[in-house]
This record gives sequence, C-alpha cells and structure tokens, in this order.
Amino acid sequence: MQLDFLLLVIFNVVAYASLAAALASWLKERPRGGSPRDVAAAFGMLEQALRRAFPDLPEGFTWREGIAEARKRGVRLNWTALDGALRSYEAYRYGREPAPTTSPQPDLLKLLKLLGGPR
Amino acid sequence: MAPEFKQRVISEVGKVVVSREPEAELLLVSLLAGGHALLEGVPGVSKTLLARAFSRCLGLEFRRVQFTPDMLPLDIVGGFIFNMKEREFEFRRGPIFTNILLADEINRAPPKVQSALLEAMQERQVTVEGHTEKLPSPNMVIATQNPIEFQGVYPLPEGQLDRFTLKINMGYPSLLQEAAILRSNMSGADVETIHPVVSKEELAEAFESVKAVAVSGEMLDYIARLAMATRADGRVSLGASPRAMVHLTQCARAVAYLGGRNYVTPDDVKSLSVHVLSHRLKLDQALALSGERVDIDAVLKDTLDKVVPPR
Repeated sequence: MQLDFLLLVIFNVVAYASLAAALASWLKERPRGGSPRDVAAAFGMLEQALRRAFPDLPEGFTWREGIAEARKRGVRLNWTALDGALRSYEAYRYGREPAPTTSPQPDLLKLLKLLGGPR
Repeated sequence: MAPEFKQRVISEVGKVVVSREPEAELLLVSLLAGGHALLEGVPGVSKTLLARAFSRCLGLEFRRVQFTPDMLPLDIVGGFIFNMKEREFEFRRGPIFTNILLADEINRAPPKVQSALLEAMQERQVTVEGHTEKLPSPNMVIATQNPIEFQGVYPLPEGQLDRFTLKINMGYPSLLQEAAILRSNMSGADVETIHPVVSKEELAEAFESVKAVAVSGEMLDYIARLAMATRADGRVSLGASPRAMVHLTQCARAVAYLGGRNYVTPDDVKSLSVHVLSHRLKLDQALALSGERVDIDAVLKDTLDKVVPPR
C-alpha cells in the first residue's frame, strides 16, 4: 500500500515536471504579440527577423544590406520613410546623437511583421 | 553642404571626363583623407585626364612627371646644385613640391626612383643629404600605372603600395559610355575648360570637418577585426597592415562627410575596403601557382561576409 502511494507520488512529480518544462519552453518560443517598446528594440528584432527570412544573408551583413535584400524580394513598403528611420537610428547607434525617443516608425513595424514578426 | 561640394567637383570633372563619376569621387575621398591615390588601367582609359581635371577643379597647384626607366630620384625630390655666383650648394626643389603631383606611369621607373617617393608620401617632407624640407599642404600623389602584365614595367614594392591610400581600377567604358566619350571628343571638350569650383577656404573647412567625423569604439573594433581576418586567411601571404586600417578609417570618415553625415557606418567601411585593401594584400604563391582561380577581391568579399559589423 505504501509502495503504491510512493509510486503514485513519483508518477505525479514526473508528469507535472514534464508539463511545466513543456509550458516553459512554449512560453519562451511562442510568438510575442505587440510592438517593440522602442526603436532600438525594433532594430534588434529586425536583425533576427532578417536572419530568419534570408538565411543566405552573410554573417557580416549591414542594416542597409539586410533591408536591401527585403526590397529586392518585392516587399511593398514606403522605403523612403524606412530609410529615414534607419538614418536616425544610425546617427544614434554610430554617431553622437541621443537615442530616438519616438515610437518605432510604422514602416519598420510593417517590415518586421512581413518578415515573420517578432519572436 | 558636403554633398553639394562633392557634386560641384564631380560635375566639373564630368565636363571633360565622361562617365568617371565614381573614380572622381574616390579621388576626392583620398584627398580629404589626407592620402594618395593609384589609378590602374590599360592605356587610353582617361587616367591622366581624370587626374588633371580633378586637380584643376580644386584650384590646387599641380605638376606632372612622366616616369621613365632612366629617371633619377633627384628628378622627383630635387637636389643640391652648385650656385656659381654664390659659390655654394643650394637646394633646388623637385616637382614633388606641389599640392598635387601626377606621377604618370609610375611603374615605368626603376625601384630606386619609386623609393624616393616613400618619405615624401608618408611624412610630407623630403630629406636630401641631411637637408629636410616640408612639402606644401595639402599634398597628394596621384600615380597612374599600367597593369603589371604590360611590357617595360617594374612592380611597385609592397612598402610603396602600402603608402597609396586607395587603388582605383579604371576598366573599359561600356558601349553607351564609349559613344558618349566619342561625342565629347568631337565637341572639343578640353581640360583647359575646367575651372576651380572649390575655394581654398572651403577645402580647408572640408579637411576640418572630416577630422570631426565620429568613429565609434565598436566601429574601430570592427575595422581591427577586418585586418585580423585578412591576416588569418590561409590564402593570403601578406594581410592588411596597421597603416592600411588607418587609411581605411580616414577614408570612411571622408565618405561619411561627403554623404552629409558626422558619423561612420559599417557600409562606409565595407564600400571602401576593396579600394583600400586590394593592392596591399598578396595571394599565397603556392595557391597562385596551383591554378586555383582565387583573386584578392574574392578573398576580401569572403572577409567582409564573415566579419560581423556593429549593428
């Protein structure tokens, strides 16, 4: 009787632990809804999205090369607006400009979504 | 201001040199980076004309020396001549004492003469028999050379090549460009019609602005990693020198300035890498002799594809 109870406990522990591990894994991998909180986060997500969407892109790609790849594939966007967003991000990232405080440019979010969305 | 400045120079050069806008821009980059440029191409592709037109539109003092196999170093840097009247030796300055020196067909001169340029190009000064004189500022050597396969040419030594900030390959024009060249030639376009389009003050201001262009720490790290990657590549026996990377950084700043920016991006560095590095790298001899079709440009492309830029 005591052995049966012990086996039941062990079985429950293993079953619930597996369930918890699967849930944790799903939470980690699940597609996250919503927008990135700022421009820097949006570009961080774009980098991953570009890598996923264009596996042939070399390791040493730059923002402009990655975005040009999307443009070549016929993605329809306001590229001038996107270029402006990239330029102001570059001024912050590589120059001495302060971090952009506005929310990410709509075409940047659109591109992110078209490339499979943030994960 | 800067993009307009660039456009003025390119348009003026374009009055007589047809379809060579990218090459004219690279010359401007080299000048603003405080460097020297090497133009390589077969005879008759407007190398000399481009150099002359470029010098004229900047309103800088210009001299041209045709390099020949019988030249001596004093034909370039100058030397001591005995003054009969004063009964003493006096230094007579050679053609290097100018703002822009066109060293035409530099690889037709023997190595001794080519070496005479080393000190002048690196230190902007000339020393003859213990007497040192500073060169005027700005000072730029624009050398032209025929491909090494041509007869009667001496290969430039590695030390000399390393002093050239950029190498600009001038290939044959396309069909449309060729027709445009013929039309321009028939209309009598002449280098004498080129006028200075940049004032001395504007040029001095441009030099100062280039110095103010920011290069982030991460970007310097990226440039250093590129250098290491060329040295680690098994296909290369001579990788990029530290001087090459200094030149690459300076050129990237000049490109950023001409693009109207006060910061350098990885695209600036990548777009210049072939021009700044290709003439300095040497393919491994065993690989070159094995018949495997690898060239320096392909090696550089692989390096740029591999090294991750700051993003």
